Formats: sequence, structure tokens, C-alpha cells
Amino acid sequence: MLRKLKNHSMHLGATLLTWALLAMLAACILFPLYWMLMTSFKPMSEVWTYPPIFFPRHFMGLANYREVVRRVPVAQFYGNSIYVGAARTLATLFTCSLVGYVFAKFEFAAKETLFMLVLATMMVPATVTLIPYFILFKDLGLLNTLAAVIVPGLTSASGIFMVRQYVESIPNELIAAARIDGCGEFWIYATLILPLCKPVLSALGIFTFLNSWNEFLWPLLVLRDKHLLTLPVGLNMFAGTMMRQQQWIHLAMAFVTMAVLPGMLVFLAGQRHFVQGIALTGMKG
Amino acid sequence: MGGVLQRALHAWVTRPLRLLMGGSLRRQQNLFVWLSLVPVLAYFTLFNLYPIVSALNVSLRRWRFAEPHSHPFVGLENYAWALQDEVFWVSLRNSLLFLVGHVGLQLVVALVLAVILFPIRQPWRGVLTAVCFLPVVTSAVAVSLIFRDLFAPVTGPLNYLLGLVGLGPYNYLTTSMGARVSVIAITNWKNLGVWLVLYLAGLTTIPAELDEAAAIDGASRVQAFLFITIPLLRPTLVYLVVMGTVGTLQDFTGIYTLTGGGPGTATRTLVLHIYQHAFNFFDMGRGSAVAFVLFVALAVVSALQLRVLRHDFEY
Repeated sequence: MLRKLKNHSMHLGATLLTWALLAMLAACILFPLYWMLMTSFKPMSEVWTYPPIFFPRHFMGLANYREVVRRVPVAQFYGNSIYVGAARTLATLFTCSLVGYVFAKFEFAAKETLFMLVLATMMVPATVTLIPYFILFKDLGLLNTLAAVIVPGLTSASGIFMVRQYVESIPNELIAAARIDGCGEFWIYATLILPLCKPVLSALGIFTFLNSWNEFLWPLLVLRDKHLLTLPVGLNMFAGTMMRQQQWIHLAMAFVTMAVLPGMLVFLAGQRHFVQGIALTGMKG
Repeated sequence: MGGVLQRALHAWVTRPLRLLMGGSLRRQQNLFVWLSLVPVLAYFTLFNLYPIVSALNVSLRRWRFAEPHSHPFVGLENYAWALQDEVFWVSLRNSLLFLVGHVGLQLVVALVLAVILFPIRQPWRGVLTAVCFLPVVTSAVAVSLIFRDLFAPVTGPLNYLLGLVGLGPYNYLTTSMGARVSVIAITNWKNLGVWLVLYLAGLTTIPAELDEAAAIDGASRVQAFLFITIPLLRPTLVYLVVMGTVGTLQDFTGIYTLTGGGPGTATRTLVLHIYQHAFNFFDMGRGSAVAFVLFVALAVVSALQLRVLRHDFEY
């Protein structure tokens, strides 16, 4: 009886300790994001104070956000980022599903070699491609255009791999039946395979879009004109300047919040696909 | 003239279309396969394979934007410069320091966390995983801006909160030590979610019966963890180390926007070193030489991964 009671209280203690630890972890993860949000609602008099103010006393609502939009072409940056992200995502989904399907369900010369070649491109680090890309796009006269940001991201080797793995589980009889019905090959891909690939393509789509949304170095290198900047580059330029002017931190944080919110919403909406996709392929967000 | 046009139309439009629509099944399929593959393979060749050759070529030349029309071949001169440059070695040391500080810490911290989270019932496990994932989907530029505010010397909340428990104040971004620790801490904060999810995925592949059997045999939970869980997680561990290595060695945005490599060269990494020479000084030759060194290092890491994983398949 006593032993049972002791065991029980030990178990309770362990559970409490676990939850305390997890709560602390959640606090550490969330506090910076909380601070960003709260600072974005503060008036100028409440930033850069000692002691710091953890909850705004005069809640500014969206006033800081309106101020940022007035000073900085945020809508333009959004438009550019969405345009780049949509173009890259659509192209990646199309090419990866088509080529992934071909590698999964067709027999042809040098198939294994070609597939290994595709996988090998994953090992080429972005750092090495930077200078060659820059020279290439300079020679093509495409520097300082959105095309230069879009073109290096039209397909993805890991995406092809993901789709191939997935399509291999689709029964061959389905495809054979469609052929007997007289469907052309592209028609089979478009009306049979594509709908069946919805789960894997959702994951790939979210990945591709978020990667594009957050990409910084390459757009930083090729974009010069203010009206062409994507969000991260615009954020670095304008919010970075606001940060240095210490009394404008609340504006900088309003801008930061505007920049990160869409990504977080896309993630939360597609969380299931996203986490599954990461676990499947280990692709980084 | 009309004949030529007609023949061209036949060769480039009518015949392929007829092949696509009609023809034997085998022929149709072959056409579909190669029409799909060729553009994508050509794309990979241009954007993944050609850049390696190009980077090597540029690294062996004197290639400056100030002299746009002559890129004379100089052999290994750029490499010799890179290896003699003191800043290169400082950058390399910093890259390795961040590598150990990120991969080493995550290997342990994320694993402990995954083991704690794993038995927790849904929806709580999902909620906590999602919370840990929020920094992953946040742009690194935004993360740096937020932390620069949190780290402010006097008015920043972090020094204030640490002051409440009698610690600090610390100079996070203005001293060499502080800046390095800050870079490592923020990288870990941002990437914890990825490691956690991959560990959790690895843990689900381990059959629960193994732990039960070990318990019946009288193994403690720590023993079961050390001698059953960890060995079975080996593929996950290897994968995480390689992914973490390749990722950390190439990280640019976080450091560039947090410290810009400073103070001085205290947080300058190889990628920042490449960036400065190629895109601030516009010396593509020198930049490419350093980039190629980094490429070879990363290729070795990837090859090692394949070796280790192949070894795993053997038993």
C-alpha cells in the first residue's frame, strides 16, 4: 500500500516536472515572437525604456502598421514575394510531379543513372552556385529583374524524389486501365496521377512557397531597384534602418510582424502536410 | 519557299503531334518520357552541374568586375591567396565553431526533448511541436531584427529579466564572445523544430515491444534508452549530423543580419567571407576559390554520409 502510494507520487512528480520543463521551453520559444507583437502595438514613448514594458500601456492597435505602410512600399514587396513564390511553386509542382511520375512508372534507357544524377544535384550547395549564377544572369542581362529570382527555383531534386516515392505506391492496374480506355499519356498524368498526388504535392507546395518567401541572399544579390525587392530584402533594408533609429523600433516590429505573419499562417493551415513532409524527406523549411 | 515551310511544319508540328496522339503505345510512352525528362535534365545541367565547372573556372582566373573584358588564367593564385589570408582561417574557425555549437547542442537537446515529448498524448504533442516549429518558418531576417531588440544592452528585456535573477548585464552583440554565443543561441532557437520533428519521426520507427522486452529483462529506462533507442536511431542521427553540417556551414542570412560578421571578424564565417570578396570587392576569382574549398569540404561530408548509411544497410 505504502509502496504503491510512493510510486504514485513519484509518477505525479515526474509528470509535473515534465510539464514544467515543456512550459518553460514553450515560453523560451514564444517570448521573442510575443515581444515582436507587443512592441508593434506600443507608442514611441514605450520603446527604448528602462525597465522595459512587457505589455503596451497605450495600445496603439494598427496605427504603427498604417505608419509603416505609409513610409515603406510594403504592398509592393508583398506583391513581388507572392509573384516570385507563386511562379516558383507552380513550376516546381508541375515539373516534380511530371518527372517524379516518369521515374516511378516508366521503363527507359539509363533510368537508374539519370535518377542518380538528379539526386546528385541535391549535393550541390547553394554557396557554390552563387557566383556562377551571378555571372550567368549578368551576361543574360537579367540582373535586377524578378526573373533572375524566379528562374533558379523552377524545379527541385528532393521534390522529384518525394513524388517518385509516393507514386510508386499507386497500383499499376489503375494506369493500365486508363490506357485501355484509350487515354493519352499526358492525359493520364493530368487527370489520374495529379489528383492522386494531392497529399505529397501539398507538402511540396508549402515547402517551396515558404522557402521562396524567406529566401534572402540571392534576391539581395540581384535586386537593386526599390520597387523590385522581395519582402526579406525590403525588411532588411527598411526595418534595419528603423532599428538603428532607436525611437522607431515599434515601427520596425510592426513591419517584421507583417512580414512573418503570412508564413506562420501558411504553416499553421498546412501543418499536418508540412510536418509529414519534413519527416518524409528531411527537407528544411 | 512554300515547300520548305510545309516540310518544316510537317517535321516540327504535324509529325510530333501525330506521334503524340497516335502511333504505337510503346512509341507514345517513349515520347512522353523524353518530352518530360529532357527539359528538366537540361535545367539541372545548366543550374546545378554547369555552375560547378564555372566556379572552378572562375576560381582559376583573375576575374574582377573592375576589369570586365579580361579574365586571364592565373592557375592556383587565388587559392594561394585564400590560404595565406589570415581572415580565411578566422572565418574557417568561426564556421567550425558554429557548426559544433549548433549540431552538437541540437543532437543532445532536441533528442532529450523528443524523448520527453514522444509519450505525450495528442493534441498536446502536436501543439508543442507546432510551437517549436514557428521559428523555423519565420524569416531569418525577421529573427535577427527581433533578437537585436531583445538583446539591447540597457533597455532590452533579456538583460532586464536576467537582472531579476541576479545575472548580467551582458553585452550580446558588441563583444566577440557575446556575439558568437548569440549567433549559436539564435541558430539553435530557430532550428530546434526541424530536429525535433526528425527525431520524433525516428522514434516512431522503433517498435514499442523492444522497450517492453528490455523492461522485463530488468533494464532500467536509462539503459533501454542508451542501448536500444540510440543504436536504433543511428540512421536518423547520421542524417541529422549531415543535414546540420551542410546547413550550418552555408548559413548566411542569420549572421549577416544579426552581426554582419562583427564585431571585427568575430562572427565572420566562410560564406560571409565569400560574400565580401565576391560582392563587396567584386573579386569573383577570389570569392570562387573560397567557395570551391567550401564545396569540396561539403562534398566530403556528404560522401561520408553515404558511406555510413551504406554500412547501416549491411546488417
